[in-house]
Amino acid sequence: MRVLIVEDEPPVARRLARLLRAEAGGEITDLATAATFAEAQDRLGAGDVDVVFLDLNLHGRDGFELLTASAAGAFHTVVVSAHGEQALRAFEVGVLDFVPKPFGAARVRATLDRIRSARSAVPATSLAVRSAGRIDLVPVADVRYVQAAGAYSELVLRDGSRRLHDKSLDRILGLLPVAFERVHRSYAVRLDEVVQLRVREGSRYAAVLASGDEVPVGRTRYKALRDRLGAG
Amino acid sequence: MGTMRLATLLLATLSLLGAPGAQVAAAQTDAVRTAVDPASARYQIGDVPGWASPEADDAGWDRRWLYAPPDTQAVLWLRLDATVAADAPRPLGLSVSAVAAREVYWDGVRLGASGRVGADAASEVAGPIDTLHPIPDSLATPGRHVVALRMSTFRRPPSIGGYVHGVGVGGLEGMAAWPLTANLGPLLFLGGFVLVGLYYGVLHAADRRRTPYLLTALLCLAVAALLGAESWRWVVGYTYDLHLARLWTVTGLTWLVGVLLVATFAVQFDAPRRGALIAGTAVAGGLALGVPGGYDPKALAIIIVALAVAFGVTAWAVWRRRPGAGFALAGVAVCLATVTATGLGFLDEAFFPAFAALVAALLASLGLQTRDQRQRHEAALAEAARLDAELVKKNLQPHFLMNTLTSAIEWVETDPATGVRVLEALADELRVLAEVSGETAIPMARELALCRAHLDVMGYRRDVRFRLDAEGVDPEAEVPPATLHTLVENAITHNAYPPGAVRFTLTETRADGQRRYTLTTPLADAPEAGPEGGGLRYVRARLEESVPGRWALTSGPEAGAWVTRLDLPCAS
Repeated sequence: MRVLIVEDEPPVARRLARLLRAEAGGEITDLATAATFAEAQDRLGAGDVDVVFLDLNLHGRDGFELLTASAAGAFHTVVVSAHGEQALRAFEVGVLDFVPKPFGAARVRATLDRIRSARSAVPATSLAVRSAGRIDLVPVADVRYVQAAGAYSELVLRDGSRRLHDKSLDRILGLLPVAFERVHRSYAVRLDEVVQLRVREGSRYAAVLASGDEVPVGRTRYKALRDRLGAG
Repeated sequence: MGTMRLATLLLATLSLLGAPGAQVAAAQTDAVRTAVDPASARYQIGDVPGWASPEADDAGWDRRWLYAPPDTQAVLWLRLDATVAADAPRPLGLSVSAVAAREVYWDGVRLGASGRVGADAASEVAGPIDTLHPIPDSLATPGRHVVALRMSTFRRPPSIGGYVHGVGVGGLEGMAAWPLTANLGPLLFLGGFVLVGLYYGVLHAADRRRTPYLLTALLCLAVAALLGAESWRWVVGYTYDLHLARLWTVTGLTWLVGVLLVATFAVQFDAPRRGALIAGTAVAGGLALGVPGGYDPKALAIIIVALAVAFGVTAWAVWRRRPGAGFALAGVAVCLATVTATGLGFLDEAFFPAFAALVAALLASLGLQTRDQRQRHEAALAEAARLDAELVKKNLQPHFLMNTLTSAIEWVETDPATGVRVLEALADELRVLAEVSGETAIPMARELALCRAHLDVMGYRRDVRFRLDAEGVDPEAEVPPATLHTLVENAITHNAYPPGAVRFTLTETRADGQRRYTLTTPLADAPEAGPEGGGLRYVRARLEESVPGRWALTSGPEAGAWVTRLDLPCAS
């Protein structure tokens, strides 16, 4: 686990680093600290980081821009903030966890569990997507399915358009509501979009969506998916 | 303000009541006087007892207009023809108004006297200027009669040329009642002006900063005094030797009313160079005393001068959108229009109603202005409460408190001694903040203590040794709470100071009754360019509340540092 702490107050950064090491010393392969998000850009762009602990105050435009910039990244974001009341707003754009200040060892442990499970405490309602130098917020309700695209993923929207996201399919799925199901190594769909499961020749399976799209279903996942759809 | 409206209403009502009353009284006087023919007057200097008799030969006497008697102080006689109509009321009375001691005869019968006619100043005794003599019914027969007056005027100042003001015959009852009926209107005005004057006097006593209230009170009382001096002759009366003194009193009071009118408007509307304006009106009014032709033209000239200046002041006030200026301008305009329409008659017929309307307009505009001031005052109070709440919130906001506590906990767990110091520094800052909240100004020493407590806390949080040097800064001088504190806070927020020592300096210089504080904070290598935050807005609002319009705040980079200059008056 490669961790970056963005925090301009040295004692707080030291505290977070110390507690992370104490709770998950063996798993953390790299732990760096930066005073500002801008200062950490190079490291983040190079894809050397799994989780960013971001000190954030959402009051004002700057804070929200910083949040969406971080949420659009390939890495997971954990917001650390003095403003506990801003937690829900942070979760809306797709962060893994929100740690209110002041925090202790127990809270850091809980966050580490969340990182290991790779599932957000509160599902996102939009996804921050970087495109052409700016960041858009794509409503999760508009997403039909997600397809892996190498280290990235592609969001296929209800209008048929596709948006490339810096996060891997695994990480995106961790932020999405449980209505999204991994049906294939490279696909995750919204279950209420699935109208039919089909068996193709050569023991290949596919899910037919309401839109008429067909999404491949992995052999190992077929039975579970069928059960879930039958139960639902 | 209900009472102020009541006063305005009272004066406005009086102005309606008074006007017709005065006119009726004037008409009655004319009717009474038509019984004597002023053109029949003949004068003779000299003193012969037989001249009282209707049969005396006055063919060679000086026939002239009644109101233009010969220029002499010695004994002289006046004879006039009077006609008694068949239906004339009974009993009849003969009225004489003259600046002279006299004996009054009706067909040779002595009806009475005023004072004692004398051959020289020593032997003459001045009597009432206006007298009314009953005519016995036996003498008041219908037809032609001869009125004879024996007069001397040794106590008459030479400047009073027309010393015979009137001789009239009419119903005794009506003539006796005339002084009061004719002056009912002016007396009502007098009461009204005294009441409003006293009311504004009391308002001013309650709030001495309200100079317009004092001037309004003085103006109303001066108008009341003018009314009193005008009515004095008819209501109370006086001996003829005091006539000139009364004329000067009336003229002087007219001048005072004119100057006070201008002063009231000039002060109320905060006109520029108002001292010169008021002095100019006083001088121009004084020059108007030189207007020839008696005392009425002088008074009218003074009034016209004052109204013209007042018109200028109120028109300027309307242009500058001063509250209540519209009322004031309308009142002055109505007065000016009345003067133009009535000319010299203005003084007798329209002066007091018009002036009552003007004062009513003045009171209405004062009321509007007071309401405006009260609203601004209330807004200022609300702003003060808001700023105070902001001050309290400042350091209870989560960003400061939770970050500080997080650092403190870290210190407590890793270096308990430092942890205690962090918590103590935080407690210090919160304590000073609690102490200064609710204040609008605190001594610089407290403000510096607040800044240093904050720098201590931030020092632990940022691994920076902050220092604030304030040499030569007067610790007693007062500043609004948390102004410097906010500037220091901003410097730390906008600069990512690297660990080490950072020194802030504060200096104070004084010139021209202003003190200038200069806060110099070093610029870090990569300053975060942020918009002007709520911090500076707080500082500006605090300064405006504390010394409205008399402060200045500038800041900018200078030689590698961020320099903020704050100018305040020396005594705030």
